[in-house]
Amino acid sequence: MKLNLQINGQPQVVEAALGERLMDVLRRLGYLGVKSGGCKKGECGACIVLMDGKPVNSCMFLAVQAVGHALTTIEGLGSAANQGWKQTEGLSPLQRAFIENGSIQCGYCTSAMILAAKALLERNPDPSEEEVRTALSGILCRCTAYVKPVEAVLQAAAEMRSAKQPGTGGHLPETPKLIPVDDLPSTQVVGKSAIKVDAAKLAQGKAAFTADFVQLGTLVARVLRSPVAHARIVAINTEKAKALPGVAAVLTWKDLPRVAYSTAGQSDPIPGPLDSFSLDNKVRFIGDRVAFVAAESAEIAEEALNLIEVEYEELPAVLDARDAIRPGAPVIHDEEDYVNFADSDPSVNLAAKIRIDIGNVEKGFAEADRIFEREYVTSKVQQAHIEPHVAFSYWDPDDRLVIVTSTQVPFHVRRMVAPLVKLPVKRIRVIKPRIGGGFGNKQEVLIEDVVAHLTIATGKPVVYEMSREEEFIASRSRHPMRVKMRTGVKLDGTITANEMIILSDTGAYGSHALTVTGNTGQKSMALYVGDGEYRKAPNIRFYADIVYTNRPPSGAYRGYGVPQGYWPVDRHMETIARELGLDPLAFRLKNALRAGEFQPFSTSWNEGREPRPEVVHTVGLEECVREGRAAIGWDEKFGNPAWHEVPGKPHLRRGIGAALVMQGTAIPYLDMGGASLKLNDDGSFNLLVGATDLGTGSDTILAQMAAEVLGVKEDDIIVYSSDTDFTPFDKGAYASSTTYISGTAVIKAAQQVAEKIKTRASAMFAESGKPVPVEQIVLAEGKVHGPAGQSFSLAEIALNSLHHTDQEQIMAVASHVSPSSPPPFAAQFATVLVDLQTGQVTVEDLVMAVDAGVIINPRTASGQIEGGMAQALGYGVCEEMVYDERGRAREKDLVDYHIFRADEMPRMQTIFIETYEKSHPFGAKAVAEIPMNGVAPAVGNAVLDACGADILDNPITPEKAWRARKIKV
Amino acid sequence: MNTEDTRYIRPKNLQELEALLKQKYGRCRILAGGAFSPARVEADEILIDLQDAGLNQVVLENDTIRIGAAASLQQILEGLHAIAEIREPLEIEAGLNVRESLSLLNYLRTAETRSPFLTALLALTPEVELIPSGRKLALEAFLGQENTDSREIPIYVNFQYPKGFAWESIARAPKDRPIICVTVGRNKSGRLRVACGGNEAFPRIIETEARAEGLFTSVRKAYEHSADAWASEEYRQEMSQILLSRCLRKLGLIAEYQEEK
Ligand code: FES
Ligand code: FES
Repeated sequence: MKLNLQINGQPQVVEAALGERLMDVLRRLGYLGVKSGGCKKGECGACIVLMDGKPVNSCMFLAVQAVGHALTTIEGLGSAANQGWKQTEGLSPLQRAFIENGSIQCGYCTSAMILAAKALLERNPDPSEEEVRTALSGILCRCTAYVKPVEAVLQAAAEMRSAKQPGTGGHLPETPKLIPVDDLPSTQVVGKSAIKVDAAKLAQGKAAFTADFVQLGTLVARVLRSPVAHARIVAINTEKAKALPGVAAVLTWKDLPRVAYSTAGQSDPIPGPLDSFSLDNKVRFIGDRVAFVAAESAEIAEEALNLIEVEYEELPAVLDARDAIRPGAPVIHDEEDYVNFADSDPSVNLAAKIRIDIGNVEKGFAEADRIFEREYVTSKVQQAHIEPHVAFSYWDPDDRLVIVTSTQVPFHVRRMVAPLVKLPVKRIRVIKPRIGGGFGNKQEVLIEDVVAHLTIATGKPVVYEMSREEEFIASRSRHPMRVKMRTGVKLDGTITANEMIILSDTGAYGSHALTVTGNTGQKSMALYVGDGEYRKAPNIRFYADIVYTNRPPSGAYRGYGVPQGYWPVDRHMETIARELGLDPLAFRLKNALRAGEFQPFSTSWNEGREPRPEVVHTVGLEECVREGRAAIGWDEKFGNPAWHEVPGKPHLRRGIGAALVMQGTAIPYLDMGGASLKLNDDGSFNLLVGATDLGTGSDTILAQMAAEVLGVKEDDIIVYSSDTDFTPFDKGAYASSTTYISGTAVIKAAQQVAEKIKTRASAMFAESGKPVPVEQIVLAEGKVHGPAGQSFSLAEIALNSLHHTDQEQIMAVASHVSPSSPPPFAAQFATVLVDLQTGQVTVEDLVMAVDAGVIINPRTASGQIEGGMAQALGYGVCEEMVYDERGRAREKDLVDYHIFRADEMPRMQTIFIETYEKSHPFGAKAVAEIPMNGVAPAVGNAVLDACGADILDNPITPEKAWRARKIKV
Repeated sequence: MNTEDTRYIRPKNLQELEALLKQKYGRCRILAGGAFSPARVEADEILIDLQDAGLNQVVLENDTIRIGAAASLQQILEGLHAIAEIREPLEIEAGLNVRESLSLLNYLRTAETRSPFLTALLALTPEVELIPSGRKLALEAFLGQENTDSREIPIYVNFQYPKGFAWESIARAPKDRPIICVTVGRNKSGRLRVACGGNEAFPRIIETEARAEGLFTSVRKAYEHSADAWASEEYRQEMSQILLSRCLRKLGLIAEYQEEK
C-alpha cells in the first residue's frame, strides 16, 4: 500500500506493507538514526522518533498509524556545518552539546536521546535536572550513566535560552577533577578533552553501525534454539521448512563440517578447550543452536523455524556448579573430538583448573593471630549492550567471503571462522564498522559463522541480528562464582596469608573459562600482599575449578573476572577490619601493594604460559583514598551516628562504605597492536588501526597521541578502524589494552613518520639555502620548524614528497607488544540509604578516585568511569540472571533484567590521580575496566555500615538486606 | 487520512466505530496507539484504528474519571495529576517515551501480573465499558475473561474520583519492577479497596466491606503461596503489613486500623 507520510517536514509517499512497523519503514527509507536495540517492543528506546513533537518508540507502531502525523527523526535536526561550497545552518545546539561534552560513547542511543531532549526543550525551555532525567527515562544507555547526556541537555537549553549564535557554544562542563603529576613534559593534544573523532556522525544518526550497511534484498537469518537444557538430537526434519516459499536455506548439523573450536576471541593458541561446533547433534543449554535458516524476510525465517521438526532425547541436566563436580554427574561434553587445553577434563565437567601457591601459605596461616573464613557468591550478569550482535556476509566479485560485523576482535574472527567454513584466511575479509557497545560480549565469535555458513549455502548476502531475548539466553555473561576466602591476620592488622578458592560456572561451553577466572585471582588477590616481612614474601593461594553446567555459557564481560574477585576480597577486608577494630581504610592501605614491589601473581602464573615476574612501578592508591574520602565526606560520616540517622524517619538509616581495587593493563608478551600512518597532500594523516573502538573513545585517543607526536591537531588525523584487508593486525579491544598497546603502536608509527618528515624538511631547508640538521627540527602547529624561525607547513612537505622531489609516500607501520601490564588502582566510595523495615537499599552517592596513569583525554576517561560505575551498580543491587529447575531463564528482556535508567541514578563523581607510568610513552595506564570492580563491595560495605547486614552474595536485594539487618525498628 | 488500502479504517467517532464492529467482516484487529508487539497482520484481516475516534482522552465527568482506550499512559499520568500517588507506578511502569507510545488498551492487552500500574489501577475500582455490547464489567473480570470477542472492545476505563489513594512498593532499584506493591484506594463513602501486587499471581483485591477478618490479616493472606523467583512468601507477607501501614498512614487512617494490626 502507499502511505502519505510527513517526515522531517517533507511529505513522502511511501510503499509499505499494511503490517509493517514504522521503525522498519523509516530505516528502509534511509533514516538510519532510528536504531534497533533488538527488543522491538519498547524496552530500549533506541528507535525513538518524534510524532507530532512527542517521543515515541517507532517499533511500537505500524507505519500506517503514522499517516497524518508529523514525524521527526534525527536527520531532521542539523547537519555538519562544513559541507564544501554549500552553506548549512550546522548542527543543532543539542547535537553540538552532545558532541562537545562527551555524551557520545558508543553512540547507539544518541539519536534517541537528542530527539527526546528536543521534545522536552520545545515544551520546556528551562528544565530542571529532574525533568531532563524524566525526558530521557525511556532510553537505556549502557555506556554513559547518563551523566554527560543530562549535562548536555542542560547546556543546550541554556544556550538556546540565551539565543547565542550557533557555534559559540554554551559553557562546556568542567572536566573531572584531576590531580596531575608534577613535572610532566607539556603537551598540546594529549591530556586535553578532545572531541571524539566520530561524535559528529553519531549525533547526526548517519550510517555508522553494522546494520546501517545492510543492502536491500539481503537474506535474513534466524537460529532455531534448544528448548531443553541437555539433549541429543535424535532426528531433525527440515523438509517443511525448506518447502516454505521464500526460504533460501535450512542448515542442521548434518549439513556442516564438524570442526571443534572455541568461541572466545583470543590470540593463538586459544587458552581454552575446543568444545564448540557451529551446529551439533547435541544441545547443552536452553538457547543452544539447533538449526540455521535464511529467508527473504524475518517473518518467513521465523515461520520456517516453527516448521523444523526436532526429536530430542532429553538427558539429565546439571544446573548448579556444585552438582557438576559430584561423582556420577551427567557429562556435558562427551564428544570424542573435544580438544583439551591444560587441565581441562570433560569427563568430570572440568573446563579448566588453576592451582597457584605463592610463598608459604600454611606457614602464613600458622603465624596468624586470627583466621577469617567465609564463602561468598557472585551472580551471573549480562553485558546488555544496546546494539545487539549483528553481522552480514556476502561473496565479493573475487569470490572472497566478506563478513561485516559488530565485533571487538575482527582479526580473531577472520582467523577463527576460516576453519569453520573451510576457507583459507586469505579468502575472508572482516570489516568492523562502529560498535554499539560490547563490554566483552563481542569478544566472542557468536554470529559470524552463522552468516558465513548461510552465505556459502545460498551464495547470497545474509544478515543476522540477535534479538534481545537471544542476547539473554544465548550470548555470553559474567561467570558466576562461589568463592571461599580464608585470611590470616595479626592483631595489628598485618595479613599473613590469604587464600581464595573458587568454583566457577562456565555454563555449557568453556570460552574464557581459564583466563577469566585466572584474572579473578591475579587482579584481586594481588592487591593485598601483607605488611612488613610478609610484604617482601607474600603468602597467597589461589585455586579454581571452572566447571561446565547446562546453563548458558559465560564469557568475557568488562572487568574480565575481576569484579567477581573484589566482591569477596573487599567484603572480607571490611569484615576483618571491623572485627579487629581497625580503621577499614588504614587496614587496607597497610596491606596493599606498593610501588616497587612485584605483582605477586606475575611470579607464578601467566595464563598457562611461562611466568614473567613484573615490578609494579606506579601505585596511586594512597592518593586515591585521600582524595576520595575528602570528596565523599568520609571523615564527617564514618562512625558518626548523627549522619547515619535520617531526621523524622526512624525507619531509614544511612551507611558509607569503600573498596580499594586494581586491574591490569593488557596481556604482557602476548597481545599485539599495529598501526599504519601516512601523510596526505594537505598535511593531514590517515591512521589505520586494527584496534576497535566500542564506545570507549579509543579512536580519539589514538588520534590524540599521533597528533601529539606529529605536532598537528587531532582532527588532522583521520582514523580508520578496522578492516582485515587494510588495517594492520590488532588483537582487538579487550584486556584494557587499546590505549596502552595499540596506542604505543600508533606512537611508534608516528615517531617514524615524524623522522621521515624531518629528514625531508632538512633537505628542503638545505635546498632553500638555510640548512638545518634533522635533530634540530621540531614538529609543531602543523609545521616543521628550524631553530632560527624558518618553517615549512606539513602540506608543503607533503607536496614536496608526493609530487616534487625524490617522490615517496611518507608513511610507517609499527606494532607493539608490551613486556608489562601496569595495574591501574582506585578507591571506590559509596553512600546508601537503607529502609530498616523493608531492606530496600537506595544508593545515593558513588565517588571513584582512580590512578590510571596520565589521562590522555579526561572527558572520555571520565565517561568510562561513570559508565562503568553504573554497570557495576547494577551488579551490586539489581542485575542477575536466574534459572529455574529446568534451566529456563527468568530474565529474557530488559524489563526483568533491570539496568539503571536516567531517572534513578545516584550522584556520581570521578577524580583522576595521575601517576606517570614509564612503560607507556605518555605515561598512561588503562581506565575502562577498573570502574567495574569496586562499586558492589563498596555498596555492600555501606549497607553493613548502615544496618549491620553482612551480605555475602550479590546482588544486595531488599529481601537479603531485610533478613541480614541487625538494626530493626 | 490517506492510504489506498481499504483494509485499514479510522472511524471518526464512536458511532462509526460501533457500526464497523457490527458489520460482518472477516477477522478484524483493533489498533490503538503503540503496542509492545504490533501483531502480524494477516491477509484477510481488517485493521480498525481508534486514533480518530475520540478515545484518546482522560476526562472527569460528574466525579467519574473516564480514560479512553486510546489514551496513552502519559496522558493518563498527566490527566490524573490530582491523584499524586498514581504517578510513581506509572513512572516505574515505563519511561517517558513508552508512556507516550503505549495506549491504555494495548497496555491492558499485555499487562503482566507484576505490573505496578495494574495494581494501582485495580485499587480504584475500575470498570471497563465495552462496545457494541454496551456491557460494563470490573477490570479484574475483564482481564480474567478467557476468550475475548474481537468484535467487543473496551472503549473506556471508568472509576469514581477517589477520596484517597496511596501507593507503596519495594524494589531492587528505584525504577525497577516492584517485588511487592500495595495500593489502597478510598472511595467517597470511605470504603477501602486494597490491591496487592508485585508477584507472579494476578494482584489480589481486598475490599473493606467484603472482608471477614481484619484488613491486615486479609492483606497478609493475599500473599500466601506468593513465593516465586523474586521473593519468598515470608518476605512478602511481612512486607505487606509494612506497606499497608504506610499506605494507611498516608491516608490518615492508620489509627482506625492500628488495633487490627
Ligand atoms: S527497538 Fe524499539 S524500544 Fe528497543
Ligand atoms: S552511548 Fe548510550 S548506549 Fe552507548
